[in-house]
Amino acid sequence: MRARGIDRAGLAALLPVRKDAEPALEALLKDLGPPSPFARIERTHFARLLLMPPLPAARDGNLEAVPRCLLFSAEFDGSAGGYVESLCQLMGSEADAIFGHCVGFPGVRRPAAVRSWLFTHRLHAGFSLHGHPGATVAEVRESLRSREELIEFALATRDADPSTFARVWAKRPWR
Amino acid sequence: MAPDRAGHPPSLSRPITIIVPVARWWAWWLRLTWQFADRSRWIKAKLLGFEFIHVAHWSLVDRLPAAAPRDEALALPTPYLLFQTNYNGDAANYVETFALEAAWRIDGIWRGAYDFPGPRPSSRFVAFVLERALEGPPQSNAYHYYAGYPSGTVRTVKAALKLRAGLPELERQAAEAARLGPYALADVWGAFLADQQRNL
Amino acid sequence: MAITVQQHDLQGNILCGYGRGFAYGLYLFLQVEGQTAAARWLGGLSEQITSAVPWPQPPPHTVNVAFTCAGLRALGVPEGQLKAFPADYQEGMAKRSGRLGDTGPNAPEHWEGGLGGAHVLVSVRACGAGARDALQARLAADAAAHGLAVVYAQRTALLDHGREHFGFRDDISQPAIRDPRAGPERRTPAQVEVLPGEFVLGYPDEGGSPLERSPLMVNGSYQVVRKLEQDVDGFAELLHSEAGVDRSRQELLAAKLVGRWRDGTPLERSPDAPRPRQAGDLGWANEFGYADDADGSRCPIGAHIRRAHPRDALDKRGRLTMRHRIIRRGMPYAPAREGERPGLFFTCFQASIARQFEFVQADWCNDGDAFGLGHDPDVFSGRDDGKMTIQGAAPSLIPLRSFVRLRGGDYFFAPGLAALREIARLGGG
Repeated sequence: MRARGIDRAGLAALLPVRKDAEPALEALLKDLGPPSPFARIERTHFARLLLMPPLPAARDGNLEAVPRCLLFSAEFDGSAGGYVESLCQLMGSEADAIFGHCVGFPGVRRPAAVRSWLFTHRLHAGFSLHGHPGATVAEVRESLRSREELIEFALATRDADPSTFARVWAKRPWR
Repeated sequence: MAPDRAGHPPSLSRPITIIVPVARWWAWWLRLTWQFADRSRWIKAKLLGFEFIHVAHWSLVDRLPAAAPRDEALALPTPYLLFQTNYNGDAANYVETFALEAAWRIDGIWRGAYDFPGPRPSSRFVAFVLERALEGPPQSNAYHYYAGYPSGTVRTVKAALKLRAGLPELERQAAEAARLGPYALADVWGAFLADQQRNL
Repeated sequence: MAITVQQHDLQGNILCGYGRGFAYGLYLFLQVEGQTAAARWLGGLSEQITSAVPWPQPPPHTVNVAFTCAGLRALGVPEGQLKAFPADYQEGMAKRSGRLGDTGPNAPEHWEGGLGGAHVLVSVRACGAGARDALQARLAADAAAHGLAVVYAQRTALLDHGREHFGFRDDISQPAIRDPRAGPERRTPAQVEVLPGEFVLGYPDEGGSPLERSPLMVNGSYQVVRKLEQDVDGFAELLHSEAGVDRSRQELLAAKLVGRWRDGTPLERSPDAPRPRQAGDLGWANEFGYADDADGSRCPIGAHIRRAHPRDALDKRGRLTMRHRIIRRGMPYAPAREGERPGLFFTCFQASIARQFEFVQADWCNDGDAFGLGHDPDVFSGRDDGKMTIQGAAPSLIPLRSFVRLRGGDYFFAPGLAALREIARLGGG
């Protein structure tokens, strides 16, 4: 799921959960953060982990023996491979704890194998919308901070005469 | 994070995830039309114009990973449509806005979903989506959600990026004006505020 | 599509107000202490309730009643029927203070005693203060004799020229309802007519919601009540500090903050000066939209009336606004004792508290994102932070502080008259 024009991507995967591991995984997800371990991966725009319920029954289908899945989904700057490496390095213990409940997870000490495992279960989006595709996480955060600084500066200087303004301008925070 | 759709401030980014079974012919139709639609600015512009979607994805799922490492993936008896969105604002209003203002686009995605009531009346489409939202309520599936800029709404992010893009020119003009004197500098700042007032 | 509401079963204060002739109001908050006696009281009261049937002659006073969910429970409505009510009503306003932004000094722990947690709200309108006060005494005595305690009483009175305490003419804009017999006569070409089901249960609404079939709910409406104390001096100080001593500049600033001049002239129709001769015509005062003023140069994008009712600002046909309309029935109140401030006893009716009142409060007034204003609040939101931008060739940024303080309130349900009798019957009355 690549946003056109910039180096930003997404990764989503449906990961099979071991039958005996469902209650433990449920408890772990409910207790995870704040702060979220994903905060350590600064290139993360959004991330979610969701323990999917048994799938809704279709009219003609039979859903016995369908394993429950953990949905892992993230939007980030850079490549999916690079993100997986960051995940293994920066939230290794949490990743081991979470994905360790899933069938076939190789463990964060083997990031290449983790990448291969995630890519095996990868979902591809056929249709996507990106509200602000042209910016990295760092750029968004910096811009939001600058905006707050500009607003505060504008409020603080609204009654300033030009000489006073010129003195305060020299100390503008976004410089 | 506890599911609490009604309790959060409107600026906070939130997730909605739903997965619904669709008719097999509809899955084929989506695969075909998405090749065009996903590249169509015209189709996307209306949906993005509401300015509360950070990211949204639609995926087709027709097999699930096996329960044992070496087993083959399980072919599902019917395909499923997985919808994930990161948005800000009121969830019901989000869904209803789509139904009221983008009805044929909604139809073009969801029509083949089982039990899809159509975009109109809007209240039924809102119920269709929100009852199936896995983060709940009323569902209560365990989940964890992270937003890299939690109170940065789509509109404020876009405004902030526009402001940031205008800063180099402001700095350039301010540096020139400062050489002339404080009144010239104040004029530059005033012009910047006037130009950027919709982003402040 | 012709919709005709059942006026004989509808309480009269919902779709159509009683007019300026009924200038004195009373809100009596009661607590049920004895179910059976209270149910008998309700049975008697239901015979006095003012319906929506037009009067050949105006009565001396009007009486209406509404209940919190706790109140219906106390009156003996079975849990199974109570669970059919929506979560917002069941929880009550205090529990939803987070959503409403009722924090800090507006938080429930600072509310006046008796204003949250009541069971029954009796609303009275009278033509004179004496008549109102006499009726208050009779109602209180009757309630006390039937196992109900008066936990709070609020008197209200219309001010001159339909103003509220900040000096602005109020009650100009109300929804135009698609039943000419039911709604107030403010229909103008610019006003989008709204189906009655947006305000009264049991009728089609704009979203095609399933029609309410529960006998307790048909012809009922949810009533939100909030006592809003107004810092009139603080607002005057803001105008003075921002606009200086020049009264015309102060009036312009006040108009920019609100979206109308104090006499009701909408900025969209007259951005430079009020038009007192025309402002008295409600049709003229409501005949405008914002679609041609996207940059806010006539009426600021964050102005109070533009936030509370965006009209065609969000989409040209006004469809995105139609699902969030409320019918306002508030009245000003004077301070009851030395040191108190005056205020507005705000009350509104709608078919869905969450979709209508709460959405307007939380998403349009407490926050500005829907209009591209970031987290900027409405000038009367009660928040003590934020700013307002007055758009123009030389924009102004006005730091805001709180001019309104919530003293308490709750969510009530105003049943139809047949439902009232059924509630009384369920309680043994």
